[in-house]
Amino acid sequence: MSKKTLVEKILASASGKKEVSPGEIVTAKIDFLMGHDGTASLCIDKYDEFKKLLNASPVFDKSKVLAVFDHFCPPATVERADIQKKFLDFVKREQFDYSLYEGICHQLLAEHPAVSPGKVILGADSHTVTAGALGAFATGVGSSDFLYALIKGNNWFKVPSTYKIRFVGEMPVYIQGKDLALEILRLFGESGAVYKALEYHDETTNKVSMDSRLTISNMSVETGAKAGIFNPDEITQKCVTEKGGKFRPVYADEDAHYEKEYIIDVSCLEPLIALPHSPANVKKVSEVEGIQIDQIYLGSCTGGRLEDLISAAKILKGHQPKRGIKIIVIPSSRKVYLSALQEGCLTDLIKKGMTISNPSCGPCCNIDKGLLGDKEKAVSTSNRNFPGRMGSYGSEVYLASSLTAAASSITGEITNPKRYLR
Amino acid sequence: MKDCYQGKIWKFGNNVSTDLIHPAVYFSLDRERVKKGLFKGFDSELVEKISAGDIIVGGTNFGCGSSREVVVQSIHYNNIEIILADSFARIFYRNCINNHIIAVEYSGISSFVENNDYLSINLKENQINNLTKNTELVSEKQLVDPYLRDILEKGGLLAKLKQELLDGKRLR
Repeated sequence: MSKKTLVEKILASASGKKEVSPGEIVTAKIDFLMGHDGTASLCIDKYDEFKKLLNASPVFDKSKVLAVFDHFCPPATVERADIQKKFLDFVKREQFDYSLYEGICHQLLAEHPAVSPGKVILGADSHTVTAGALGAFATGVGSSDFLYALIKGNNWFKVPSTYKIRFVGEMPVYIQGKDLALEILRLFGESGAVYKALEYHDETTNKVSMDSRLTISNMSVETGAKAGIFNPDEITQKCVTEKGGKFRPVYADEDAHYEKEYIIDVSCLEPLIALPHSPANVKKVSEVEGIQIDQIYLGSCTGGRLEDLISAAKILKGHQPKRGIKIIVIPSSRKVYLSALQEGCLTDLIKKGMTISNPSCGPCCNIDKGLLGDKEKAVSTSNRNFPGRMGSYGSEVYLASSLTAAASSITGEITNPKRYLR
Repeated sequence: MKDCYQGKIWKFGNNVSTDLIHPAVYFSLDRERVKKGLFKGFDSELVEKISAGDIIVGGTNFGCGSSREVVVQSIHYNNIEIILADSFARIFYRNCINNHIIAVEYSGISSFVENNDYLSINLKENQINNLTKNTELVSEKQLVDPYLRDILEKGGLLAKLKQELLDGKRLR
């Protein structure tokens, strides 16, 4: 049998085949399925049609499904309130497991014991790739795919070919997962990995943290990739066992065939930033320091984790945010929120005058809690900066790490976090 | 699903995101609102100019960004049946097929056309004719993968599901 990549092994196992090859279309079983109030709500009428057709609950396995309320959280318009009510009534009626305002779906999946190496995770959201940090094949789909998987427990997949990316060297204190993600975008561009699986191998000496890995996997989709998956290791094992999951790792074969291979020496990286209006428009922060900004957003499924909040508080120690700059902080889940309170960093940020909102998607995709007006500029720890992404088509969004966002809050300008770190 | 599609094309560039094709503010369960939002990120008046049977041609990574299926629903409600692109963003590609919109990936298609050219696409012969410029393309491989053709011919993924469930019911 030939040597296989992680995704080839997972999809072979899930489709009951000895092996699969890139380009092949397979039917793979789903281990866990997630939908949220922003997209899964479209399925309800169709679901009821199928229920009527079968005269029974059509769901393949309710224990493998989670409905998350995170986009309209809480609803800021009557239309959204109506959509949410319909979805909430539906999940209660059909007795689905649901999370009501507990956090952003991808963070909740990362915290869920069911998400572990070798699993096939499907979500009705493009950033479902985030769960790949735990060694699962995790990918996003639209509402129809979600409904099909909900009923059949499987779906069609075209097996992607894989690019191997090895992180080597030592992570500097001023570099986080976001900088690695932006470096990958700088290398590939927005369409440099369309329909590929990005397989990450952490060979750094001080290890990339799980929070940073989640950020890297999260932004894989911005290169056009189908999956952004980490080869499991002791960091994966620790995370999975701590949350009560079972660590049954699937590893990429040595000498598997990859379409391309890359090595990124993290020791050489400088803090990076994506300029408007593309996540791939990446420059060094040092090249664009001094651009004045109106808002900082520290949050989202990309950059709202405990590591991000601790980093922000660390940068701000002994400093104050610039008066008049809007700073919005949104922990990505209730668990993160509580951990940050316990750790003390959230209290520090509150004392510095930052605005903390409830765990939710917020301004990231133009929903609520801090949209930008015409000509406003923001530094954000989120994942996309297309025109109009966070508000007015005349606004500008710069994507960066929480260290860079925090440093920029002090000066009111894009600022290199190295200035505040030894 | 027909063998041949013909119509006026609307040409777009590379990396056209779902936020431009159908801005998030037009997300709705109301069909008319969804229909109205098409291409509002480009040009607020473009949707009024589109006729039934028109064809979309995009560059690379067409439809990148969000998984919002309303984006594709809006295309469908505006009676566009087929989209060609040099390459598609993968969720958008899936959403098209699943919603009974024929997505044809053909590297080089965007340089074969100019905006508002008339195109004829023969899915049986795997041939594309630019009727305005009198030029022709013949594809070596099938323009639509047979596995996916099955989904399209059944009217989309959920129509296929319905048939599978009915067949399952009859077998019991």
